[in-house]
Amino acid sequence: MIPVHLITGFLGSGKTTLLQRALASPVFANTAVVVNEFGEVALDHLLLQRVDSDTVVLQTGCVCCTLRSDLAAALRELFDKRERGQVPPFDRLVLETTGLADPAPILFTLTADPVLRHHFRLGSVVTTIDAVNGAQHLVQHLESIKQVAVADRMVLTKTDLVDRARVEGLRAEVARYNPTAPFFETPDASLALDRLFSAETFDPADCDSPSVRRARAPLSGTVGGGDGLDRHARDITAVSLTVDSPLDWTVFGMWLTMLLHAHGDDVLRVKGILQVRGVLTPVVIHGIHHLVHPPTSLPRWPTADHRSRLVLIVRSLPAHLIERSLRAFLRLAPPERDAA
Amino acid sequence: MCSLCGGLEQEQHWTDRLEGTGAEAEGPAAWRQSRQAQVGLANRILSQHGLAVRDWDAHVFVLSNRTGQSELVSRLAAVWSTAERLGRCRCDPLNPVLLSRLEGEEGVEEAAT
Repeated sequence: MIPVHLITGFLGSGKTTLLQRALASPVFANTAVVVNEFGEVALDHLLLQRVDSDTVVLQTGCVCCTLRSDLAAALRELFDKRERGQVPPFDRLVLETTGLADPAPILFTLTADPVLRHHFRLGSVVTTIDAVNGAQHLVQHLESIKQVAVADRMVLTKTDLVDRARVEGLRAEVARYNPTAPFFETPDASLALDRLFSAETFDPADCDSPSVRRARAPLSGTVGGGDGLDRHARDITAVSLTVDSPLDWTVFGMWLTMLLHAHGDDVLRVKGILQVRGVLTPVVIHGIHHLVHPPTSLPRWPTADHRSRLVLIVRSLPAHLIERSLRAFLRLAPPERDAA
Repeated sequence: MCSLCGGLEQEQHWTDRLEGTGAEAEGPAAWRQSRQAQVGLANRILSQHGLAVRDWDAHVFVLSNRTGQSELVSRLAAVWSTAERLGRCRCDPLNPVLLSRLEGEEGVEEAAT
């Protein structure tokens, strides 16, 4: 399965610069690139250094709104060429979205297409945030907040153009919307590109980051704020839940499918590492809106803490009710059988 | 496609099983057992709306209301929208009435807050 990494971020937030830097690294030698042409982004395309046969330019519109089938067709064509030896056998694909694209439908395309899902899988969602204008984008544009909310990795760009206090303030603000995604900064010569585009979307350390611990403490409460901020954006909350005993998978699945059925539009992100009954290794789960990726397992627990940890980034949903609901459902599970 | 009922073969859902995790739930017997567990749990939730669900040959779920209307649903995730149509209700795990009922059921401990 070829990991597809998604670079998203607001217009002018440095997506293409980051992509250029990544492609210049030997680590990304076998990387195919797909960009979509949308207004000024087409100029970005001309700046890319590895745009030859590995790049497919979608000709019209926005990837997530009108070109989902084109995206699928482009990826199919690229894979077909790879199989026929017409392009190098790339083992990684990077998709750069338009600045206004909502990443959720793109991820849906990757996982729902009957052909693509057998050859491609989601890698990291990397969101770029401009240190100069990022705070303003968060205040004015819900789309910017959604891009932060769905990120697996966040890159603060142009940090050399502002003072450190402003960078730290932006980090704190962004972490309130997504406490699980680790930060990277550019320009930073030591930027760990391989970790930034890690094939695994879940870094076990994510659930133990200081920002997650902060989110865990006040399980309810509204975050965000600021004059002019959209009401819906103000109501985006990171809810962090910890369950001490192993989860019954059936019960958990029932709960989450029902939650996403009723409130998927307002569940921007689900991310967790779970201790499941009868499963020796930790189970990692990811979801965006109504879409849940097939769960995967880690080879071992990253720390001595084997409790299930689940983070939901939600909009206008009361955190205390989510926790109450999960606990009520988990109590429906039959008693755990003793190990043989 | 199934030659008996004409039903289309379904892709696996994320809730179906945990592949590659060394889970106990491997093999046909465990598969059926897992579906039975899903049915039992769904019925505890759906019964308040006068609905009942049963597994038909580990292939589809059959959802019925009090008047005998039934619909087939291929997977658990699809039960909820069908249940809302058949039961003229809203399936919401955050519904305080549902939670109070679940928390009050026999064998259910007091809910944490």
